[in-house]
Amino acid sequence: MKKEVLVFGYNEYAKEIINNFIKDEFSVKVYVIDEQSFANAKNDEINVELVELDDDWLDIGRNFDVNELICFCSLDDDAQNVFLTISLRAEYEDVNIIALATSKESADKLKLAGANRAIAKLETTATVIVESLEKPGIVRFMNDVLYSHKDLKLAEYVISKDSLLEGSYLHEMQIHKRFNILILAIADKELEAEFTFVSQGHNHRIDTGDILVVMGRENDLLEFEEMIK
Amino acid sequence: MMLLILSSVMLLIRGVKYPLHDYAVLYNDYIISIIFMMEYSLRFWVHSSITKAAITQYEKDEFLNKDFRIFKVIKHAFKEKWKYMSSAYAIIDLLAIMPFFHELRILRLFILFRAFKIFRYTKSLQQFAQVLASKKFEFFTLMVFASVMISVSSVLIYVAEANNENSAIDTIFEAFYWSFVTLSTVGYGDFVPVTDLGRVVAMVIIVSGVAVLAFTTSIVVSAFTEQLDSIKEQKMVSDVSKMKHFYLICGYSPIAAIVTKHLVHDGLPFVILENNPEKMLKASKAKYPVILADPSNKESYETYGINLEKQVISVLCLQDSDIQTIYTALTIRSIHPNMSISAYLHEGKNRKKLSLAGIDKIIYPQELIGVLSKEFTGKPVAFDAIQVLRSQSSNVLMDEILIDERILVTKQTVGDLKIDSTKLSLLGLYKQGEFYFNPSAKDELNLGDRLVVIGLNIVIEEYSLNLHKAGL
Repeated sequence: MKKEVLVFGYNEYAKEIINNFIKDEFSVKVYVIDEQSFANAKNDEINVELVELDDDWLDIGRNFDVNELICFCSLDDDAQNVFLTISLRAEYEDVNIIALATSKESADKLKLAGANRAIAKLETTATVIVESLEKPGIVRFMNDVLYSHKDLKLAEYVISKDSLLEGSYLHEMQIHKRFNILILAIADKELEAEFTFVSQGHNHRIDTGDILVVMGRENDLLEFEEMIK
Repeated sequence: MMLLILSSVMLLIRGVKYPLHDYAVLYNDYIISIIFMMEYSLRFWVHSSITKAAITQYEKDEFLNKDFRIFKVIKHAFKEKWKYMSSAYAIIDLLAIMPFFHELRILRLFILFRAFKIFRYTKSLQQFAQVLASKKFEFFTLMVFASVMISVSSVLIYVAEANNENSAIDTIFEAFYWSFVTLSTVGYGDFVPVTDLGRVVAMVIIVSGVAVLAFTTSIVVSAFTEQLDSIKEQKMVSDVSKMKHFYLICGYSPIAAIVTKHLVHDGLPFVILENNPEKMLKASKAKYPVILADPSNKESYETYGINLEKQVISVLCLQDSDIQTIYTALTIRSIHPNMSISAYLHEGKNRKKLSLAGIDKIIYPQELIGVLSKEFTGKPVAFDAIQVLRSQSSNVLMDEILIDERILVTKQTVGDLKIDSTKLSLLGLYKQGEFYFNPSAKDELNLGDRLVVIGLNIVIEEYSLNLHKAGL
């Protein structure tokens, strides 16, 4: 089944988000709250529906698998985005909500409203601008690895209970060298949202449920995945 | 120079009551004077070029088929030099040399003129003088008024008091001195009028004295408030011209406000050009170096002494509209064709226009956010890890190390770098724009290659330092 994405609002940001998902063959549905956006989206042959902001969003639960669904809140107004996020969260506990905010302050509010992620538009752009001044190489590297569909990929693997790596120590691990891949970091299940980077030098014991972040060529990664299962 | 002047004045003060040591006298009378004399002669010499005048005159004469008129050249040269000698600074300089001829005891006092030389070397004193000079007319009017008051009242008081036995005022100079002291509202009380007429004169002059003082104060204050902006601007311009390298930010938009915050955090130097006074005020309130000037106007760079070639590392166009951005980019291109320019794109449809205007790096937030959103859903943990690496606050960083000549002296291959023995992860190597992931130990290093590494920032710094040290 195709993965499904809901986008709220139809502005330049929404358009870019939609493009990125359509490229990867997601099924995208757009909800708008004003006539103008509705007309624009119709014009661009987008699957769009005109709704009221104070809707109870029960339709979503009926039409989509909420556990697999990703919602993007990209309305023009920060306050509307916060309201939308909180309404969606009130109705569906498990839906993945990603919301856009103008400033860092609004992004914090969106997180409080229950967004899984909030992207501060200005802040993020400024970071990229400064980064491209200070470390042009890193920015290019990011573009090469993350954003283009080149051979080199970043991947993450959850360590299962009977994985070969379970119980081994990060620093003793030599196995990845056979596959020409790099282990960058490990996200510990116990330390929520904390990363241990290999280069940090801690000797971390790999447990079930930990997530390995690795980088390598696509084929090597596939082989590695086979092996650690 | 400042130290010389100060030490000389200090010696003068000490010399009043205590005999000076021979060395001090030698230092004061000869060494300082000789240095000042050299300064005076050098300034005299460079003030105008005689050779240039001679050549111009010669060419002129030759063109007119006349004999070379050397007298005209001498006259011209003398005129130019006299212009220098008669300037206020030159006169002070000359008087400051006078104590050299210390046999004339009275000339010792001229050492004090050395104190005036401080004017030449301190900008703030010059600015002070400039500010006061802007109110020349007001001061002149006030002075005329004060002099008339003093002259009239001193004559009146002389007439009233000079023949009175009880009065201390006997001469016209004493009368003048009394008027001056009273008008200035100081009023020592060493001379006091005793006649009725004298006291009436005193009352009038006291009232006008208060008025004169109040006017003077208000003129000085208003001169400063009027000139404050221009003084600040002058200071900023001189500060900017002293900066060796900086990023030039055109426009103080909301995005620029955040970018500058990051730059301050990272300790990177920058200068903002903004032609909207309100926004400029915002930037200057944040204590950023900002100049009120139009970045799309060539003249701005000349007026404010910004040398794009020598000072500016790269230009960031963060203006409010694409139209302004394009105009600014073209202006900068026309001054310096190879300047690296980055710009913030407001509307996607203008992208091509921006790149035609010669902008090297276009940042389109919509596109950026679009890609980011996608990444957030695809590999959230991996992406988080990368975000942590990129964020300024984390102590684990992704960084690049440039392979330069010094590193190449001892390290020829990737294996020589001995990265395995450090706590760094080598992600790969950029060779001529091509990225090589996980390079093998045998891979060669070339000038200009960039290593992409991950590690604790202190480890990266230390390692980079060691690489360079080993190359010495």
